[in-house]
Amino acid sequence: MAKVGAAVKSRNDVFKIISNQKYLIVLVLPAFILTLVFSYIPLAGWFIAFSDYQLGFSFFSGGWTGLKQFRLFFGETDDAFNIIRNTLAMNVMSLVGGLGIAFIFSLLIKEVSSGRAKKVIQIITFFPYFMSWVILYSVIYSLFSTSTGAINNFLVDAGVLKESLNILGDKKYSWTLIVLVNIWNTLGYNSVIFLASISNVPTDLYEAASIDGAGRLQKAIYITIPYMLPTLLVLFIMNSGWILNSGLDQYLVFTNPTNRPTMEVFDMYIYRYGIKLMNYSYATAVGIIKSVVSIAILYGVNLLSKRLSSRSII
Amino acid sequence: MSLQLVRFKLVSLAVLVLLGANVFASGGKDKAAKPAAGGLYSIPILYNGALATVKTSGETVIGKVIKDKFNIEFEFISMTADAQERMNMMLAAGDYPEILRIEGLDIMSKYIKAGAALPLDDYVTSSKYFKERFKEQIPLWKLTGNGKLYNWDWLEPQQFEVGLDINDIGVRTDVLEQQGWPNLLSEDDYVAFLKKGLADNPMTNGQKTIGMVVPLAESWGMSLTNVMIEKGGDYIDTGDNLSTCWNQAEGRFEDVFLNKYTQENIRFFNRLYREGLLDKECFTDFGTQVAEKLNSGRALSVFYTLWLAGGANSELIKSGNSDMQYINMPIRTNTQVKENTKRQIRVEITRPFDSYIITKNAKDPKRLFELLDWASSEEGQVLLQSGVEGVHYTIKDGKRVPTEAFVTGMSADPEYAEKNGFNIFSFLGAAKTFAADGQAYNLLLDANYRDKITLTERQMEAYKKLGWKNSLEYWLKTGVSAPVGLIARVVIDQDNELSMLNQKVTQFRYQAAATLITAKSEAEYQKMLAGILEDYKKLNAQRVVDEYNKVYNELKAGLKN
Repeated sequence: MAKVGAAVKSRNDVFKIISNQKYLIVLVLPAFILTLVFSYIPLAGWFIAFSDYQLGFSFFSGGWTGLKQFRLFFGETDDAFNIIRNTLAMNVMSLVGGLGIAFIFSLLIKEVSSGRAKKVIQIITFFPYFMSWVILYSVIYSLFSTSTGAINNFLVDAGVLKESLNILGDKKYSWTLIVLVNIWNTLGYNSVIFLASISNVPTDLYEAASIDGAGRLQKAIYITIPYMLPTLLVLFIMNSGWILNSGLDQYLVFTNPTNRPTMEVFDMYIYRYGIKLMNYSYATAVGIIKSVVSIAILYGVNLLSKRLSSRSII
Repeated sequence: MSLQLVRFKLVSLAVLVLLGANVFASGGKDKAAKPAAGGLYSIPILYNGALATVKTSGETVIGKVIKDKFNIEFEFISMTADAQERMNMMLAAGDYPEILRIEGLDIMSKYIKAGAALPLDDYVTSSKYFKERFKEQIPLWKLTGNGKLYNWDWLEPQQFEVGLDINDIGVRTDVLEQQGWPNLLSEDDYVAFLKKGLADNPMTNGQKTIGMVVPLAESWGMSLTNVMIEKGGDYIDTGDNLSTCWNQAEGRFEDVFLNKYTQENIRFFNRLYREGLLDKECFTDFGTQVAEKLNSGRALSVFYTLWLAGGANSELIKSGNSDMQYINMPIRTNTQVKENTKRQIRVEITRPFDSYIITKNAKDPKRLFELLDWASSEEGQVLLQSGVEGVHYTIKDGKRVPTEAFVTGMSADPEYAEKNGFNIFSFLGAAKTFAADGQAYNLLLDANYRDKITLTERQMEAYKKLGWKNSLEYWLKTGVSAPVGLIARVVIDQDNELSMLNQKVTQFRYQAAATLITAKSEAEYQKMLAGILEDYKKLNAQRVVDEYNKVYNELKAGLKN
């Protein structure tokens, strides 16, 4: 009887909390529904990784195949090794390079005294973020293609190079190319976040530092950077969850037969085997591996952050 | 019941409905209402690319005849995405048009298995013309449907003498002229020709000249690294099947990567690459980029993709560079030249990469098939391929003679074919054979008119200077008909354990070819090749080859029974 009473009380408490926070709940509801519909419900589709799914039939109509698709990925060829290597190498370098350079860039922007110049620089650096990868590729192509690329032609004409560099086609340049393009693409966006954190620094700290005789560099090192570090850390942890999410369109336009061994990432591989070659079960299995590894990386980075700086998001 | 509980239940229900719709959705949309008997039947057709001037078939001269006769009109819907991808997505969503073009036996099988393709057997039994026109094809088509007929193919049936469609190498005619009109054939010939051509013409209209272009970045691009197997006397490419080739002499499938002509093909590209003759951008170039290089005349030659050179010739004429136009010339590996055997020229008995089906979404499949049956008749084929008597051709001594308007229109007006309805009814079939009057149905493929209508004056002059009677003389003299029937129907089913290996073998070959082509020296090439062959052994690709031969023998036995 006492148990029933406790249960009723507990339920009433829940309803009371819901009733008290109904406006907050309404606010969060659209995001909750969107996440549920587009991120969680599709997880039901993971079932096909363990079954012999046939196009045009229900997800559950194929026979149970267990871990066959997973064994194929890790067993038959070097695909698994190459893809994990490429994805991690390019994305880790892009993440570290992107955040690092945006961090330094924001510090430098802060030091620009002209408000107009600041805005112009920010607009110019933010602009690539809004361009599609197809357009970005066209820009890169017109700069670096071997026969018509402006930079290649300039370097050859100036005698710096004997012949054009095959930056888009040669696999030895592919990681550098992707990392630099990613940094260029996200510089403006990341620096806006850092600039927002810089704007939170109380101005009296700078004033006090000035009175104490601190120069620009000392103010940056002892005031600005410590204020930016939590933002850097949060961005790093949040982005590490996406580290295996490369963005299909970027790799679709930059990959070609010669640089494929160093360019093929999880998303490309899943697209190629799933959509193009119709191995939906196999592609889904690879997708699951990708998600599991992503979650592991996220938790790992979070744990590391917790240990090193006592800051974490989970 | 409290209001909150009702709300909670409503949200739960909505979530369940969404879940159900997401997981079980595969049945497709409901069938649209059947058109009234004899009423106008409007059918959407997915068209690869876009038509510039026509939206419905009734707007064209030929389409109007069909509309008057059958009260059927086709509405062309432009399709720009990758065709195979779209077919897959349409099947997954159950949203496909009434008539659908299918590329490949694997996709065909999926449509059949999912019940999306309608069996045509009942209609065929009572057909007047279809069963006769396709008597050789029907038993082969039925192999994919386990004894039932589901499809028909475009450009079937075929005859060797009609519409020989050869893609070797497109060569700039002004450079041929500069070098005294040499009859190029071997790898050595091309290397010497291109080297001299580049030395004599380092710049073209202010831009650096390129030796040879080829769009290897296209999804099918890397398959061009083995097309030279067909230029010899033993092997033919089997279309859909990318990991093996057919040994015509010995009647069996063989590994295409290990084939000596494939290796020579790759080596030829490497030789061109090392000599600075192959465009370094070939691996990043799609058809569009190659077309641009041809349009400006910068490329001295184009490998295989001759269809890109057709548009380039018009552009060159427009830009006042008429003398630079491209013509098709033969290529063989040095070994093939020495062997000097007759070239195996494919005559496709079925074309699994260009099939059509009537889907279960068809509003009135019976009416559709009636039109298809008529299109298979003599009258239908003459209308679809030669047009309307008095407008596109006249009859003289029992033979069709193209009108001046047709000849001028086809050779000078890029929109003429479309406006009149030529080449837009591929889903109704097009026989590449002789008609009852002894001429090809399509007069553009007829030996008497082909060059006159399709070639420019400069191209005709070039062939004349080379000493050829017509643009196909070399291939007609040196080739033999290689009918591709049963072998084109052989496929490793996706349910088969070896299906994945089959795909990986092909991917390996493409990657290996790209690596080898870019080798910087002979020593590096040999070193790379040794490593690649070692890795290839580990794949055990022979299992795939054996499976192809096994399936072939099973199908052959089934066909006999």
